[in-house]
Amino acid sequence: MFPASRHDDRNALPDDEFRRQFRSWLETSYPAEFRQDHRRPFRRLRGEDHLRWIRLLHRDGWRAPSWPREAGGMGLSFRKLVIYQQEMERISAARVIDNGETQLGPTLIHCGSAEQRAEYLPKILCGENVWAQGYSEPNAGSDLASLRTRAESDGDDFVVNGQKIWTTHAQECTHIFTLVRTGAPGQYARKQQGISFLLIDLKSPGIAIRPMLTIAGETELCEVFFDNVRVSKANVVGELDRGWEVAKALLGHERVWLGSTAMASQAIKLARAVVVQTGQQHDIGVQDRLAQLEADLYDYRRLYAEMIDDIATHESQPGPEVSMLKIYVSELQQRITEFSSEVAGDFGGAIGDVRIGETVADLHWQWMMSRPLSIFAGCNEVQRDILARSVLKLPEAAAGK
Amino acid sequence: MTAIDETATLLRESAAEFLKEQSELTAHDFDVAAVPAFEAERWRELAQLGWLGLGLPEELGGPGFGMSESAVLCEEFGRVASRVPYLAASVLPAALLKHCRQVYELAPMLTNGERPFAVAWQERTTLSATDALRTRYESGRVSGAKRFVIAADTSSVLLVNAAENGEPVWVAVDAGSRQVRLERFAVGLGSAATVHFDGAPILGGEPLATGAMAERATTYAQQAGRLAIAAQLIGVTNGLLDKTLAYVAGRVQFARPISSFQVIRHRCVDLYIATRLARATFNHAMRSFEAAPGAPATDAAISAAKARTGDVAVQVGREAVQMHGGMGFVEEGGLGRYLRAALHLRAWLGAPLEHRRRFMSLRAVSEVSDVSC
Repeated sequence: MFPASRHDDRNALPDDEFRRQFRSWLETSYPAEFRQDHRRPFRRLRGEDHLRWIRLLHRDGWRAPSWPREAGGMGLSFRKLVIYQQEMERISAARVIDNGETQLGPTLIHCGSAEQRAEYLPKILCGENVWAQGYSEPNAGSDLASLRTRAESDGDDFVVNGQKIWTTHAQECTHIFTLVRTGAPGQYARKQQGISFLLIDLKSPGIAIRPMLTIAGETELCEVFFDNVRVSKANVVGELDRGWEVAKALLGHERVWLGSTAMASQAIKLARAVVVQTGQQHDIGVQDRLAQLEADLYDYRRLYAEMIDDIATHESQPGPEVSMLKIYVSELQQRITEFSSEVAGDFGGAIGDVRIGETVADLHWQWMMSRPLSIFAGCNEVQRDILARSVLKLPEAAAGK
Repeated sequence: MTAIDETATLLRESAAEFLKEQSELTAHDFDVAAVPAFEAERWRELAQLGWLGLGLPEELGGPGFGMSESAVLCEEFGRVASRVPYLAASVLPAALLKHCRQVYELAPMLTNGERPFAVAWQERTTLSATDALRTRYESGRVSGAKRFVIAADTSSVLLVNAAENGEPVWVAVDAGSRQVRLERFAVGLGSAATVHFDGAPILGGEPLATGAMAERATTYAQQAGRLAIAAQLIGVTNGLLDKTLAYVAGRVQFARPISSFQVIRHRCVDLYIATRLARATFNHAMRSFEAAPGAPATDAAISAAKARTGDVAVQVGREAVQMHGGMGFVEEGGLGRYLRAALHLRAWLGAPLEHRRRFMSLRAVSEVSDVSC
């Protein structure tokens, strides 16, 4: 089909040895300028930096840790994935938004055709293709199944018309995987039916990308417009009209990493630095508020570790209860960044890098960048709905109604 | 299943059976400020179940369990908001006696339920490890005053710490002795006492521990006590949450269960997340304690757990009242005893604010890792 991983099976290593090898590789290979620091506590790699990092991982066999080895990945167990994430966090590795590896790859491995896997997986691994996710639309956010972008059948092709929004880094991507409506109006009873999972080359004629400036001052989010875009029918993943199930199947372990403490850890380091650099380390009011945040993060780490350990021990898929991780850690991070801005005196209103004592920080950026954490990847209100229904099993209507 | 898991399951089951009747409201619940008398008969039932002195080693007549087993029982006592002072009169004294010598006469007294025990070690509003002891021990007699002695009765054996020429000692004193005076008042679901010692003679003729040994016993008992309280708070919290989830699911208004309203659903979810956070940090503290009781990192973990479980219990209690509506505010709604238990346990051996400060200072010493699983 295509080359399996040519590297040694690192999943066969003892956990400690695996950790040692990855740590040592990161320490020698991870570019120092890519690390997160006070100035950019939630740094993300984009464009050429992103590609450079992906190629380094790929060259040395550390790419696609969760993919099976037959697909060119590392084939790691969940427990080793945890170690992989921990070591990334330890070295303060920047975030990358890598939809190809985390989302499309696993989807193609599960639901794609042999041709699709052979065509796309190797190009994801080497960075030749960079994928955007095209799900949300202006009127289909939390209520995603209301999406209206249409793909009309025309011979061997579809003709796509419509609009996607909140497409992260679309201007730097080569391709987009989308959910589009293929069922005829009135054909299906439920709006989740009649949706197909379609792969689209962003260089196709008729596509326009418009970046949107965020309140953090960045152009990370885009609108993508489709105006009579022709796409081969071979690009449907899974069954026609059954794309909703394809998209739902790919969440899996990725939902666990949304609960990572990497960003909150960076945020609290900045908070500590702000307290010290503004001379408030002996202010008991400030200290008590910092202590609350420190204790919240400390206790949350225990919960995160406990849930991860449970999944690893039982080799199970994460259940609906993992939603609580994303809720708690996103809101905690918002509280931490809020604290930093609030106790920083007049620096709390500064925009861009400023020198606070010996620390250079951009408090505006970190405050603003924490806002969407409770919005993306299923807003926290939707996550709470999931927990109320699937974990607490609270009745939604009177019995017998 | 490991041996500990099996023991825990057995204990949990027999506790649920024993405590079933205690979940019913009684006349006590409608007399909230009364200072309850010690129920000697019920106490002997605990002895028959083998629960008294559960943490004592085999050579002292105990079953040789660690703290986890005692904590399992404390959680179950908390879950029904039991009035039985198991934690104060058995778990805490046993943790102390475990690290003392000359206890061979006291240990059987504890395990056979003949006498209740109480630990008298606090001299100020809160228990602080750094304050100098003002209670004195000299020539076999104790003088001074102790505060917030939980579940002390005139029939109790009091375990008292004092200073002998500036060195700490632990001694045992008969609470019924002429030179001991108890001022009892209601706290939580039971009693606390201010205890005055006026040259009271000690039991057994010599201290239970002196010097470094006494300090070790104090530290161990403080850690064990805080863990036991945290476990009981988790029980109280889960009892409150279960009651509340059942109430909102059954309470119909506007022709729907109020659990169908999103505002109620989301509030319940937040309480659930809080309880999971509390249990996770408690589990971690317990594991740290079993692995390395003396380490500063363990002390930090215990303070984090004591702070979290106390905060969460009272948070869930407040929300439980609100979601029960008027029924939350009347005693017959059944929440009052849970709230009193939560308020008392939150305060006992250090309130959350104090423990978060401890956590911060200990954390600096122990260099708690930022990345840990």
